[in-house]
Amino acid sequence: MRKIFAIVHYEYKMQFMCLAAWGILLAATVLSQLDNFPSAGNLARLEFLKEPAYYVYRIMSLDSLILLFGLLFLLAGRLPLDAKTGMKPLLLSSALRKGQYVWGKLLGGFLYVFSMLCIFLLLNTGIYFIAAPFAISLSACVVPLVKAVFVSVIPVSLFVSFCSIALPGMMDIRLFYLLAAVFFGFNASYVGSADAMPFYLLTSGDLVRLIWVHPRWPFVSMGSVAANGLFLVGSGLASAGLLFLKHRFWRAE
Amino acid sequence: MNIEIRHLTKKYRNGVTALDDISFRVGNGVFGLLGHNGAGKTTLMKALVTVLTPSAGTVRLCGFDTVKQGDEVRARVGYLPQELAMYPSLSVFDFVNYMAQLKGVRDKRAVQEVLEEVEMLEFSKRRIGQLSGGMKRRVGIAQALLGNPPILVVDEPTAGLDPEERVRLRGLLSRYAGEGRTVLLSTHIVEDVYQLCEELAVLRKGRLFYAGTSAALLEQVKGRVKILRLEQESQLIELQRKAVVLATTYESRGLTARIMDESDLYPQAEPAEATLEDAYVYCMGGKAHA
Amino acid sequence: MMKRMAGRTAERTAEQTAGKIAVRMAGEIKICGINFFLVSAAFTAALILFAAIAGELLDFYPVSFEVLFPFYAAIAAGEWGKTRADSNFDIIAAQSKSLFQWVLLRFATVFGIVSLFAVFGMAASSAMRYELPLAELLVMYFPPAFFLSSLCALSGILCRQEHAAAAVCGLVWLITLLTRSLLRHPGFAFIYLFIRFAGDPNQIWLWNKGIVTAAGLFLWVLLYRKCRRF
Repeated sequence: MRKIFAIVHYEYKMQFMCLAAWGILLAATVLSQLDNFPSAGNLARLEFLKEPAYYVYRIMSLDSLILLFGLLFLLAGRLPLDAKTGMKPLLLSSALRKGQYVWGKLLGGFLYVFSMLCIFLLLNTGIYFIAAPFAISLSACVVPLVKAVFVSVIPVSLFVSFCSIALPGMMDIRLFYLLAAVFFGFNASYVGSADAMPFYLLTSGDLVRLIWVHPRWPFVSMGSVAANGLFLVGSGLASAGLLFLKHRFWRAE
Repeated sequence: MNIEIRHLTKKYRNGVTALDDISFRVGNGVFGLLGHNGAGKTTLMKALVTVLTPSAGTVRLCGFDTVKQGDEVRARVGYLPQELAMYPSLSVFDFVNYMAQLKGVRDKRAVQEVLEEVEMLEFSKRRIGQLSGGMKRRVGIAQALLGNPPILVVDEPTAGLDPEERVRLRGLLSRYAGEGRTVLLSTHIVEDVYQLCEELAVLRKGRLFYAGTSAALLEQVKGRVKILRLEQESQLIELQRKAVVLATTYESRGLTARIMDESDLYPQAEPAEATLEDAYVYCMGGKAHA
Repeated sequence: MMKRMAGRTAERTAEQTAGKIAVRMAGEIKICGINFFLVSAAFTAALILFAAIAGELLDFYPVSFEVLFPFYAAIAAGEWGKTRADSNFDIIAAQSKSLFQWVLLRFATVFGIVSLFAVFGMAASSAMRYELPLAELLVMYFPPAFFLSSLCALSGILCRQEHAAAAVCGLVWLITLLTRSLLRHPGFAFIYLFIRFAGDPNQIWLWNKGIVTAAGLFLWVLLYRKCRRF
C-alpha cells in the first residue's frame, strides 16, 4: 500500500506542476464564461441561466469537455513516458509489483482529473456567484456543485483517467488519440433531447440530469442514469483490466 | 561468490541471440564487463536485475535465483540503467525519495545520505530537467545506492561524461565496492576498467570471449605490442592484412601503427609497453582501418 | 537550337530535383514507420464500414470527411510528421540547408499519404452510398484538413514537448465542434471550419472553404518566418 501511495503522490505532484494543464483549464474557463457568463445577452439567450443548478449542469455537460479532452492528451503519455525515459527498467528492477505500479498510476491520474474538474466547476460557479446581477444564496450554488461532484465528476474522472492512462500502454498512442477524438467529437456534437440520452455519452448523459432537470421534461429515467454510470465506470475499469491482462507489460512474476 | 552466471542464453522472438551460453562468477570488488556496442552487455545486465527472463541457463545473485527468487534478488540489487532521463519536473530530492519509497527504504535519513555520498545534497532542490549530464548520472547512482545493496549493477555510467565527472564517478564506485560489496560495471571505455577492476569479462557478439583478471589479459599481449613507422597509407593497408593493428597515428611525415606482432614478423618495429586497451582491441580482432 | 538546348537542360534539372524530392520523401516515409500505414488503413476501413452500416441517420460525408478525417490528418502531421519534438531536430536545424524545406517536405509526405487514404475512403464510400460527387467531397475535405494540419505543423515547430501539437489541434477541433451555435452571428459561417457539417445555412460553403484555405496558407507564412529564425 505504501508503494501505491508513493506513486499516487508523485504522479499527482508531477501532473499538478504541469503548466500546459493550467493553460487548458484557463482556456476552458474563458470559453465557458463566454458562453455562460450571466451577462444581459447570455441571460436573454439562455432561458434558465438565472438558476445556479442549470448553470452547473450546463458547464458540466458542455464546457468541461474541453478541459477533459486536454487532460486526456496530457495523461495519455504517462505510461509510454516511463518506457521512453528509462524509468521502466529501473522500476522493473526494484521490488515493485505490476499491481502497485498500475494502480498507483491510475489512482494518481484519477485524483488529478478529479481535482482539475472540481477546480473548474468551483472557479466557474464562483465567477457566476460574484457576477450575477441578481441575488443568489450560497446554498443554491453549493447544492448543485456537490451533486455534480458525486453524480458526474467522479465517474467522468474515472473514465477519462483510467482510459487515457491504461489504453496507450497497450496500443499506439496515435490510434488512442483518434479513438478519443471520435468519442469526444460525438459527445460535442450530440444534440440533447427530451428522451433518455444515449448511455455512452461522457458528460451529457443522463447522469448529469440529476444536477438539473428541464422543467418541461422533468422525467429522468433511472435505468438510463444507471446505464450511463455503469458505462463510464465499467469502461474505465475494463481499460485498467486489459492492462493487467497484458503479460508483456511487466516482468514475469 | 556474489554473482554466478551459468550457461546463460537469451534469444529474442525475432530470432536474434543476444547472449549465447555465458558462464562466469563475480566476487567482491568492481568487476568490469567490456564489449563494443551490441555485444550483449545491457541484455546481460537486464537479466541480472530480473528485468529480462533468460531463455536458458541460470543467474544467481547472493545465492538467489533471478527467475525463481526474484523478490530476494531485487531486495539486494541497486541498478543504474544505461539511459535514464528520470522525471524532469521532479526535484532531485523528490526523485530519490520517490525511488526510496518504491524500494521500501523507510529510513528518512537514507535519501540525504545517498545524496551526500554522490555530492548532490546541495542541489537537492533543483529540478532534474535543469541538471547537467554528469549530475543526472550522479542522481542515478544515488537512487541505486538506496538501501545499501550488496550488489550494484551500473550500465555505462561514464559514457558521455567529462574527465572530471568520470574521475568522480570512478572514485564513488571504487569506494562503494571497497566496503565488501560487488559493483558490476558495464562499459566500452577500457580506461574505466583499467582504473577500477581487478577482474573483467569481455563479451563479443553475445558470446563470452574472456573472463578473468585484467593482469592475465594483459599478460596475453605483453612483449608483442610494437610501434611501426610507415611512410604511406598504402603500407598500412598491406600491414592490416598481415598483422593486428591496434591503433594508428597520423603525423606530418607519414604515420605510426601500433601493432600486435605475434610471430615477430616486424623486427624493425620498436617494442612498446602493452596496455589493457591493446589487449581489448586484440580480443576484438584489431582496429579497422582509420 | 540554343533555345532547344536550354529547354532540355531545364527539363533535366527539373527531373533531377523531382528525383531528389522523391528520394527524400521515401526517407521520410521510412521514418514514419509501419504504424502510420496500419493506423491510417484501419481508420479508412472503419469509415468505409461505417458508410455501409450508417444508414440514413447520419450526415455521413460531412462527419467523415469534413470533421473526422481532417482531424486525423492533423494528428498524423503532429505525431508522425513531428519536427521540433523529433530527437534529431537540433542536428537537422544546425546542419540542413533549409529548415523550412525539411518541415515542408515532412509535412507534405505525411499529409499527402493521409490524403491518399482519405480519397480512397471517399471513392469506396461513394461506391456504397452515392450522395455527393467526388469533386465536392475533395473540396469538403482539403481545406479543413490543410488548416488543421498546418496548425499542427506550426505548433510542432513552436513547442518541443511531444504530443503538444496534437493536443493544441485537438482542443481547437473540439472547441470548433462545440461552438456550432455561434453560427447565429452573421459572418461566422465564413470562417467556421466545418460548415457543411453545420448545415451551411447561408449557402456560402465555397467561400468558407476558400477562406479556410487562405488561413492555412497564412499559417505557413508564420511557419516560414519561424523557421528562418532558428
